[in-house]
Amino acid sequence: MYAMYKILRGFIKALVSAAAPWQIAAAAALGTLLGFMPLWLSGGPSPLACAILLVAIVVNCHLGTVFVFWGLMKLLSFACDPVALLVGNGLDGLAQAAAGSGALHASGWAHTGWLGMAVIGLLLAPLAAFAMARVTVLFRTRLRDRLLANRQLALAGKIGGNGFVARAALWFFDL
Amino acid sequence: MRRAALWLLPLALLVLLALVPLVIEPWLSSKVRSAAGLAGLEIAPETQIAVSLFGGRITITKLDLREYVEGKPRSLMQADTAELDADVLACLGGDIVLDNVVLEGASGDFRRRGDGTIPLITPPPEERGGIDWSKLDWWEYARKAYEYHQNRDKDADATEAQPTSATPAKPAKPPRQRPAHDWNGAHTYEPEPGPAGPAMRVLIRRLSASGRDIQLPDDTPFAVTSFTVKGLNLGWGRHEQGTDWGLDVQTQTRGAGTLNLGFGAGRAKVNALALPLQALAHPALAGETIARHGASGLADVVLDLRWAERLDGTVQAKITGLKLAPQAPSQQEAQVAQIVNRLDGKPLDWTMKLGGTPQDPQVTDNGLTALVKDSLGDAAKQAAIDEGGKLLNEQLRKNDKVQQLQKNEEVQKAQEKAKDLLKGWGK
Repeated sequence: MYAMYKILRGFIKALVSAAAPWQIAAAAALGTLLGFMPLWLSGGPSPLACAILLVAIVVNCHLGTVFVFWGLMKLLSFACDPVALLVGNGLDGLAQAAAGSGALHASGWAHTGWLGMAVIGLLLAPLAAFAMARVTVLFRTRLRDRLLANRQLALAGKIGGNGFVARAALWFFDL
Repeated sequence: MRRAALWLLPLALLVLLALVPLVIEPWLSSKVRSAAGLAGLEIAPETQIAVSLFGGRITITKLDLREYVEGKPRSLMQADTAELDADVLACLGGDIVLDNVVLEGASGDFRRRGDGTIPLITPPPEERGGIDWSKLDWWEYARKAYEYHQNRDKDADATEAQPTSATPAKPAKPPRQRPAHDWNGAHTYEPEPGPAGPAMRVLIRRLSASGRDIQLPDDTPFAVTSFTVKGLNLGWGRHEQGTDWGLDVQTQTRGAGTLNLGFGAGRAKVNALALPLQALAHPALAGETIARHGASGLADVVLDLRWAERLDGTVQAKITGLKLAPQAPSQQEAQVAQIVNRLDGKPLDWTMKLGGTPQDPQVTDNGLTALVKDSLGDAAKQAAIDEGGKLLNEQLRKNDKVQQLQKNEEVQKAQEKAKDLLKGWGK
């Protein structure tokens, strides 16, 4: 729980940090992909997932966001099992083709369940990236200023009964 | 690029290295077990598998490789210890390449299954080519197996030549569909091995094995009671061009004496010492081809074969105590049997020359002319001398008897004369 809290704090820090929106967007995309792809299958490590993890480490994206999205999307993927199965079985030809490629076969793409999951991840990754880029920009241009204004108000003691909540919010968002 | 990657990556690598003995090596051990499962076999739970990734070594103790027949486990191969040194770099390419394989205290069971097929040897059902392998004797088995491997090698060569040739590529075999055990309703595809699929190579560069008994497909006197095996560059699947291979097997059999076998690319040598000919007559070996001659005796046999397109070989045999008792013989066979049996088991040196093709070997020189001139002639002469001697002795004995009889007659006559002379005395 504490780890989750720390990760969430790190994520929020990312929004207010000096990280560029593209860094957060890329991190969200990579985290989403990792969340929907298995890192280790019964046949061994997944080359594709390992490659994505390597990219996440090497590229200067926001690592906290990667881990947050990895965890969140992993949780979401459990709920997507039936959809993934439908998608994977619908892409049976792709699964057969993947059996002929060593890397894709080892990454679970010849398995209709994991293939469906990977396809959902690939579809969601750009959406997550776009969404996070927008959220970062909106947060920084609109919400941050308001929160800062609230902070000033709170510091000035102009908030009546909501002083504790405002202080807690400011502390939480590290403002 | 992230600056922290400069220390993050080495750190990740260190963590991975630390995880090797805890995670990677146990996982590789399970992979070895599952590899046996892919071949429809199982490694018994009592078998201990230790993998050393950096040493490239797999050590197996109490090896028990088995298959399930009608739901019951049946051990096919056992060994006290097995050590396998892998060529890690070659294995990274998807092949299975072992530099050194040492088996000690091994034993095997290649008895036919209930349907007549032979474990580890009969090709899988989809590759049997309409041949009823269950009804083949050993000789036919060897011929069919030779044809099967020739065709497979040709396919492999054709596949390797495809990128440079203008001939259209063969359609790839569709991958095999299997249910996914980790996900209800899902299925997975496994690449189809073979010439048209990903050509995996299995290669053992050096093999050394020794062991106890080997149960052969049928209950014959050739059942092995002890053996040693030395091998060089043994493999199947995609093969390396220009490499020679060899397999030398020394065995002690239950009822067929010492049997040494040597194989290589285009060559085979079989050396049998004190081989009872009755053992060769077992119907499982070559049906009625040998059995109908009813041969008995002991033979030291050397079979030396070499072939490329054509077969060239010799069979050298030194046979002692040869007797023939053909069943329903032709006139010629009966005559041969009569001559041979008259030899009374005298040693014979018999050399035959073989030709034809490996699939259809033929006797180009049956060696009978030389046999008649040399061993058979000598034996016949000796037999004639012996026979003459016997007759002479017989005659001499007869003469002695006659003389004795004559003597007896003379004595009797003398006695009678004496009796006549003495008649009247004392009256």
